[in-house]
Amino acid sequence: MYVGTCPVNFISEALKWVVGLGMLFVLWEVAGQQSWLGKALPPLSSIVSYAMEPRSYELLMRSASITASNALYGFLIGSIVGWAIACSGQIWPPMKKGLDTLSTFVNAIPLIALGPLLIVTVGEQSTPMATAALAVFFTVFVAVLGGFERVPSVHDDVIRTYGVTRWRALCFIEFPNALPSLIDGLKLGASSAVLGAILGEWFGAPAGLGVLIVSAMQNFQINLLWSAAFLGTAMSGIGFFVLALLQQKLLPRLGW
Amino acid sequence: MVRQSLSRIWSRYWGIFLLVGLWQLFVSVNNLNTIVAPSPQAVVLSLLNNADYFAAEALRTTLTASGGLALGLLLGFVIACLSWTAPSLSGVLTPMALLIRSIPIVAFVPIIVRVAGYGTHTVLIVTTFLSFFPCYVFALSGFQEVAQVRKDFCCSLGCSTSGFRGWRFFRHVAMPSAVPNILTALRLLAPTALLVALVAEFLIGTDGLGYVMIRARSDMEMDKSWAAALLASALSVLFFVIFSYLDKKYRNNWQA
Amino acid sequence: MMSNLHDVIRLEGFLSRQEVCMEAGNQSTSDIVLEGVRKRFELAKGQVIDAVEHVDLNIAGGEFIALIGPSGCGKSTLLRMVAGLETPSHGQIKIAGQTPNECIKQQKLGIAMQEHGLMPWLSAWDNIALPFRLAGLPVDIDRVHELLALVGLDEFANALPKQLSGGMKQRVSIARALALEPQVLILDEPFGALDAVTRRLMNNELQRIWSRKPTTTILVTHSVEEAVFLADRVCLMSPRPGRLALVEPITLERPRSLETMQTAEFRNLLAKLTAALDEVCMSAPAQ
Repeated sequence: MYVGTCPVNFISEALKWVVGLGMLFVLWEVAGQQSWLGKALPPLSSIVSYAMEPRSYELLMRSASITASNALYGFLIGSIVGWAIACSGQIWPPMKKGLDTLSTFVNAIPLIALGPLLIVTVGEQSTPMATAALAVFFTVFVAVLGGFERVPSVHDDVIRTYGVTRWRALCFIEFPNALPSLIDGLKLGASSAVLGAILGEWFGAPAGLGVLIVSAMQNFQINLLWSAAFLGTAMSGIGFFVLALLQQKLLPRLGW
Repeated sequence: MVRQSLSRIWSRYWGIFLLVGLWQLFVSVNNLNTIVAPSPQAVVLSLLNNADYFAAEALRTTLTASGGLALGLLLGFVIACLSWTAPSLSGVLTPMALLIRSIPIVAFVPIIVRVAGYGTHTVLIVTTFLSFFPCYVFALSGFQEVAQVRKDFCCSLGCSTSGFRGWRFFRHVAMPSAVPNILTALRLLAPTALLVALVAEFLIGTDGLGYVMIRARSDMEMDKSWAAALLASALSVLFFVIFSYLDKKYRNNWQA
Repeated sequence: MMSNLHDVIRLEGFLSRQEVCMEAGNQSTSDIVLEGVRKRFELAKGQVIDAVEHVDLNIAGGEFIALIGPSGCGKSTLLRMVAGLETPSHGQIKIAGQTPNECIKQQKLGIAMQEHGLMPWLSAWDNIALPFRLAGLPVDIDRVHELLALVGLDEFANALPKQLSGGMKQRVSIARALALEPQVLILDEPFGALDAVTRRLMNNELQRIWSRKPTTTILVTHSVEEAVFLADRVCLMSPRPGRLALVEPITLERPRSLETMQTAEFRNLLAKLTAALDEVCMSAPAQ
């Protein structure tokens, strides 16, 4: 019944995005030109031309690449740890409750409150990576757990009647079942990683977008502030996009 | 009896005991003094010695965070109601909400600070702004996800299920259906709202726990800074626990 | 001469039907006329499926009709068309001379389905009062209490649906369907999700409720027993294309009770219709 309407929906969906964003950008440009919100909201065109100047371009790119590598490493560490913890609760059930509580607790701690602790334990240099990892960890942990819970109870019965070991059940039944949910979690984790990296850089890191954002705020470098923010957004957008692509291409191949 | 409840506590909270133990171990083994990393006792002592001061600051942060959350919820709810009657509004707002979800927005608090100026009102604005979009998305999807049987039932009574003419349906069926969704939004947002309030206080530096964290650090009162961080974490966990409880309690009544 | 005599007999039969209605103090129940009703769904480009193909049926006011047939024979689609939830592709449906949509606007229909569709956040009482609120009418408090008593749930007025058993939920759902004193009652497998014993008791219950005020009713069901026990006429539908294969009048005396199911007459009707249903199922083209 719905097969025929699919492309139309897609086009109208895309149109909504274009119209919505277009309106936002036009509004922004006008607001900036007329300085409705004061000097703090410059027109888009002035932000773009600032970011394209060689000197600022070079500064932005240097900072962005530092933040990107912090976010990426943090993302990898966080997702592996989140995944491993979720799995270990599955392999050794008595640990599960405590792990759930611990993870919920760690997630509820505001990242900013961890700053003082992290600069002492892992050092100022590695703090952004650690905060990024912490930000990603919980999203992935929850996603994997959710995936495990979605294993149909029929499979559970199969596991039991065949006397399969917990480890094998995890490898062959539970983990494959949790895969789509894991990738969903990773997708959400992309922006958490960038957020974690930027926040972590506020605690005395030598360089990065976070450092740039705070110093631009304090020194009233509005164009720099906005350019850095745009770069951060683009970074998490790319991460999201790559994972969405992975989800679309990889999952069907694995039979999802 | 005592033994049983002790073992229950242990199985649920062993992770947190482990964390505190590691902290103590880290401080003792490295023989760090309080200026670098205070021990658990030092932090607790600092909390107890300055109980009044911390309580006042914590109250301030809590009020800002919950005020922003409430405002964001109200705004999101009202605009979701409007979107339900006028779908073109949701066509523009939903893509924006999705876009904002993939932006590490907490990291861009400096921009909002620059636009809105330094002061407590900015903290409130930031928290409101952040709570708005998720509340909007959750409320709207709640309104729209009324089960087909219920819609059929309303249709069979000659009650319109969309647009302005469907306001009776909206009031008696769609709006109450969205309650579990709104509870979920609150549960997910409560710790975030607190984080945002702390970040804003940390950056703007007027008052609240976020300010205490950075101020005490620059005064070399590490125990005080950590105490503020610990208190903030406890508050955040408390927020999470309260809203999870509400969610659990009332969600039950929404299952037929 | 002969044909005239037939007409007279038919007329008499018709009158007696009407008289029954009058006796029950019920002039406000409607007859339903289905004329050449057909429903075609478009699956994808060029692919169509006829869920219902040409159904003619006259339902007298105050008559109880049961629709049976194998899954996917279009009986639910037919019911949804009468309820105004779907529009026929061809032909027309008239309820007391009006289209289903007009009837809906005047709240002349009451509907209860397999999924009870109660609002989980409302008590049994509020669920039954909901039709008044949705129609923008003042809630008739006495009527709501009366309905709760009618379905035997006066003690559960404040209970939420989750606190009620499956059978109780369906009772609330039926009471809700009756709230605005509909002229036509539409029941789509209302007891389909219940266990066999509860189902039998609920049938008896529904029979009792209906006898209090015989409203024109269309019931879709999988159970031949249920159909025979409740209906004045049982309509058997054949699948692909959905058509009426057989219309069987049920002459069992009313009021019926659980003992009625033990009579030879009941057993015979049951056997006949079950055989007809089996035949329809087996002769249907494979999917």
